[in-house]
Amino acid sequence: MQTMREPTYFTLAALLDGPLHGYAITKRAEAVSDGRVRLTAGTLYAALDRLLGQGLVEVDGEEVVDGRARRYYRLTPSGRRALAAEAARLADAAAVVVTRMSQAPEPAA
Amino acid sequence: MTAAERAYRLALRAYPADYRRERGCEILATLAELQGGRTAPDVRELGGLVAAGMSERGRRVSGGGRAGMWAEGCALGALLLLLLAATASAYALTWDLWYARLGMRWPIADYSPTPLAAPGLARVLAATLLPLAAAFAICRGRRLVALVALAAPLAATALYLSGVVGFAGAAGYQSWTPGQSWLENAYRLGTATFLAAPAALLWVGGRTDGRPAMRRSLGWLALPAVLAIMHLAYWATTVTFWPLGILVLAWFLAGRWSPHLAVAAFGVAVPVLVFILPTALGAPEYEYAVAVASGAAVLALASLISALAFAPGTELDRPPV
Repeated sequence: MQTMREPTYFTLAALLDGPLHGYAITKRAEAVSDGRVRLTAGTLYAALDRLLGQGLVEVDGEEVVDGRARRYYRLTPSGRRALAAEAARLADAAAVVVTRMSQAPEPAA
Repeated sequence: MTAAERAYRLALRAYPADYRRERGCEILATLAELQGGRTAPDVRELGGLVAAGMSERGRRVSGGGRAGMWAEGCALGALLLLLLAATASAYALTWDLWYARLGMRWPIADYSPTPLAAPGLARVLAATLLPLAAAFAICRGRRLVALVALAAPLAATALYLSGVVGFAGAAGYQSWTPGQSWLENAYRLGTATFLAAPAALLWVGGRTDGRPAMRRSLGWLALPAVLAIMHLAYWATTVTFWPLGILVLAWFLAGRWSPHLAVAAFGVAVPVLVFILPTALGAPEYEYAVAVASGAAVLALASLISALAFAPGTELDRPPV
């Protein structure tokens, strides 16, 4: 399976709780990553285009708020599965290190 | 309209027109919300827009597939290097003609920009016309034809360097020197480097079927590659840095191969070279005039060839998908 890039991963993660529009996705991604991932609009829409093309997200609806066009996106079932698989992969990778860290002796300073 | 929105709209120009029509309002709305109450544009957002826009254009030019991007990137790199080779060669030849008229020899005894030591017509053919022919073939998507066009000057160079064939007027020309760094030797080999690099790129670019290609087009690598090679020869830096740099940007901004933009880019670069660089570097102006004139001639010729070569339906001139 292909490794997911971080912006893609957190874009999908931001959509776990329901459909969001572009601005809300960037804010949610920043929040769920503890402020580590700050998506620019360029990165966000490149990721969304890719995810739409792969069928991992889909457009949920459109509206105009204060004269601004908003398009909402939501996870598809295959998007949810892909996110779960990536999370499991990351957890496995982390577990390898965490387990060994607890067993391996501290290196001499 | 705020200064920020004006800047973002300008940066959105990096995307293809139909993408802007489809997504522009939505992206601007997102940016407006991200902007909050600030009036100055966020530099990070501007950079993100330009990078993503160009990436989108690159994806379309290459057809979207990774193997396509790889092949297209290699072809673009090869094309740039060939134009560089032809420009450099024409520059050297112009100097030779200039000095011949004055009854002088190349002023730097131990260095000549072209190791293809055959004089006159043979050198024009090997170092200028054949690279241009290869460039033409690349424009037409004929990778093998381009490789064949490069084979003759490369073979001639190899024969000369191996000592099998000594060309008339070979004295003073350089060859591979053991003990020197590869950079030093690449500098000495001059044209051979210019021709070997695009040939290698073409070869690699055509062998990508069935194996993983790079995520991004190698076209982006062409610029540092060109810069690295140009730093080996100061005259090439002055002649071709700006035109080629602008050329790359123009190609990507246009979202397609556009010889007209190439000509326009060179038109922008010429005043810079003629009026700014000589003053800045304190060099005699006629030297740069010769450099610019020869460079302009080759690039204009290359652009003309490209204009003829890029007919609709050619491999590298796909319409946006």
